[in-house]
Amino acid sequence: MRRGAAWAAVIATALLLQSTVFAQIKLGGAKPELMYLITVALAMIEGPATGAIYGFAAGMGQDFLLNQPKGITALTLTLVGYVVGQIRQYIVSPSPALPVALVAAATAIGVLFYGFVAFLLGQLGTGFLFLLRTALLSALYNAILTPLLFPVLRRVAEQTRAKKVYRW
Amino acid sequence: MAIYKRERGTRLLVIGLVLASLMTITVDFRSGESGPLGILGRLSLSVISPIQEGIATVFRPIGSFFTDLGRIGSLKEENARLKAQLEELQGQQGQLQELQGEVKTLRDTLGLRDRLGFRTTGADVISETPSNFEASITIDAGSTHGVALDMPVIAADGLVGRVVRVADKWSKVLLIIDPNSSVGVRLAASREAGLLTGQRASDLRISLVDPETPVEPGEQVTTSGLGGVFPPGIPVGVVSHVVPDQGALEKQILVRPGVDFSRLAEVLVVLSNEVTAAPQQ
Repeated sequence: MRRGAAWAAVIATALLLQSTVFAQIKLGGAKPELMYLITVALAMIEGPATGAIYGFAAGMGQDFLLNQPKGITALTLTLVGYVVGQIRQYIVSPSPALPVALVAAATAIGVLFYGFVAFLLGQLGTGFLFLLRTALLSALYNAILTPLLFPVLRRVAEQTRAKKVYRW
Repeated sequence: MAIYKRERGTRLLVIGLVLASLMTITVDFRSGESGPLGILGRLSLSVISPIQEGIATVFRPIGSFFTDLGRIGSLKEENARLKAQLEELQGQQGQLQELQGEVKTLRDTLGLRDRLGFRTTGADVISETPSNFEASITIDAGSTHGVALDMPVIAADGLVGRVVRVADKWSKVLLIIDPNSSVGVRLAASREAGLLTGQRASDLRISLVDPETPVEPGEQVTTSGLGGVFPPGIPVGVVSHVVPDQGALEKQILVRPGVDFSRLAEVLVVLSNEVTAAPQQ
């Protein structure tokens, strides 16, 4: 319960930052995708099931609260959370570059997937080159933010982890 | 066995979430703004907009600082260009006064009236869309201020966009730089009409213009009034580039918007297209 509330607060904070602060601080014209970053971080820390659930929640939150076409981000982040969670189980590396690489790759592929689905629904008003450019720049932006935010998220996970009870 | 059951449970969970997402996409796609999800979206706008407004007030100077940092290189170049332009304009001032008299005579002759302004309401920009695929802003004027769907939005330097979603105290405005935006425009010199579409960070593009139409960079572009959404005469920008293309069916013209969308803070929503003031003498 406490863990769920903590992650819900993280997602809500990221949504507000995404629509205010980071809407104005752009990298080459692209904005960061904080929901992708948080979903990937959650999936790496908690596993595929939790990654998928919170990816769905974060995606729905972004679609509804930020007035975007409903459901596409939720679909994208559900799949991102699940896939990253699954991949993480098979990669054993203490390297700090791992979260950065995973966040960058997941963001790029996720944004491309979002663009593809939006294109199928006739809601993408840009060409493929712009989509590709946006995906790469967003991935780069997220990769830059990962070393700053991932330790914070891991700390939240550790602080809210249920304490083991030893019965004698 | 336990591990297999857990894997199966996870897969079922993901399938369920994917189906829920697909259902949401389908309902939203089919019912649009009038459906239950559209209503929820408007409610969400009412909930989150006050919070966004408060945070934006605090963090706007930070965002402006980073935006200005990125523009230092181009600002020097723009400064030199503007100085040269100022010298040229000062030289043309005498000719301009003569032309102004001529225009006044033509206007009197043709029975044209000066347009002084429309009935408007002011609004502040409280947030910009976080999406990389849509160019829109949220303003602090809604249905209680008389704002309705498809109302034009303007700023001091020209056309900003049109209202695409309305809540009671907030509205979403689709900017003219969005690729889904289309505006009927007219070239000032030739009076030729065309269709202006956005290209995000690139200059706006005018299409459906006769390839024989003479167009020069620097020519003013205003709204034409065709289409019924935007009243005629609102400045949009200036021609920045004309793409030479022999044998094309239409001329490709690029327009630099008059409004600086990275610094938009205050706008006016046009509540009525009727001229509210008496013609100037």
